Amino acid sequence: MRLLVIIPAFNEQAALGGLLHEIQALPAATGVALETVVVDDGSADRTTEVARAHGARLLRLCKNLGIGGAVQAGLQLAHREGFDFAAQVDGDGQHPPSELHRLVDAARGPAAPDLVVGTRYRDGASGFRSTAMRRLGSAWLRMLLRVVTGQALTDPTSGFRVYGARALRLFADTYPYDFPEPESLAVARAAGLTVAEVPVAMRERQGGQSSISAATSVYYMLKVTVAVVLAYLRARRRPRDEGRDAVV
Amino acid sequence: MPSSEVYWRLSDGVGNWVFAAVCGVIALVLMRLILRERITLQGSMSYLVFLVALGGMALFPDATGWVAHALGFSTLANFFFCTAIAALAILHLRALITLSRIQLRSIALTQELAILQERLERAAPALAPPIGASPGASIGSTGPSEPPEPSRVAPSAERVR
Repeated sequence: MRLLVIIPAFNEQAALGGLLHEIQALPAATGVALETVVVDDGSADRTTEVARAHGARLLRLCKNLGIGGAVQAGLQLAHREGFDFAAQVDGDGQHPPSELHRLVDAARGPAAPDLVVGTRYRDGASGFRSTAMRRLGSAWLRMLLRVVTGQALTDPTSGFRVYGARALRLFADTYPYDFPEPESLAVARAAGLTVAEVPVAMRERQGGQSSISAATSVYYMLKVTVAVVLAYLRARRRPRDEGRDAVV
Repeated sequence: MPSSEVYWRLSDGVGNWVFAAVCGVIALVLMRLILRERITLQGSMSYLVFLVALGGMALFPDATGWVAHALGFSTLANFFFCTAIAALAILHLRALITLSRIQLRSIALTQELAILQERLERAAPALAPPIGASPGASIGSTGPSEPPEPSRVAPSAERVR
């Protein structure tokens, strides 16, 4: 089984080195061939040099596309090169690579969901305390996605994910650019993909700054609400991939 | 009911001519930009048509008034503003569609360039700084395990809609 770990990074020189080191230090898993690609989203710092110094593959975007465009570049690489799975791990160090095996095990498990999302809020998850504003926003998105997709998801803004073959095929072709995490869940459900959540521990970002401030979070929620509904409706219009449509 | 004098005029005196002249000047500026290849003829054609129509309305108020009356407008100014606002909204929508399409193409091309560049650097290490790729076949390594198979490369044009 081939797994590509995709690390979207924008000015993450402070956290990236430690993250890549942790990935290199992961214990070998039977039957898993792992590669790592850093998608440098037009960084102005030494993100590129750090990625190269740690021997990771590197996609350098000549302009900043945002998290959606960066992740999709990695997903395209995984899809084209025939990887069985792709994992998304944020470049700010919030997602401990040591938790990656939980997502991979779920993706390879008997249910074999198309998309596995690491959640901070389900039983068993620990080690992370988000801000009150973010928790409020997350609660709103949970309700919204439940209404729109019919599936209860506890952590719609989590970017700690493993994509299966069908998800790779879908998202290599179309991936939301505006608010990719919640939108992509709506797109996946609308396309008939199965989505599962796995409790994982997350931690505070290891460096850099979040792009969303408290002042802009309300406006963000308004925009993301419209975006999720439109993404779902747009994806419903696309021809569906054959396969399952079960909720895991 | 307004008098016919008020009904058939956009403004008193030379106002109609001034407005038509402004439309003409803007059209000339557009033509100049097209000639200098700053904008494309295809993209600005609808704008030119809009300016010609506005100029025509100003130069031929009688014909414009007849159309406005036939459409049920009480004054020519109402008809003029409704037409202008509708036309500007359509032009703006067209520009928005074009801009969004270009943005999506720009994203696709940026991603394509990054992937091709990475392939090139891996294929020709002598031409680019080494990326330290080492064959890795298990968790714990970060380098590529094998080169990509060309047959699996999807044509990029599929995404550039």
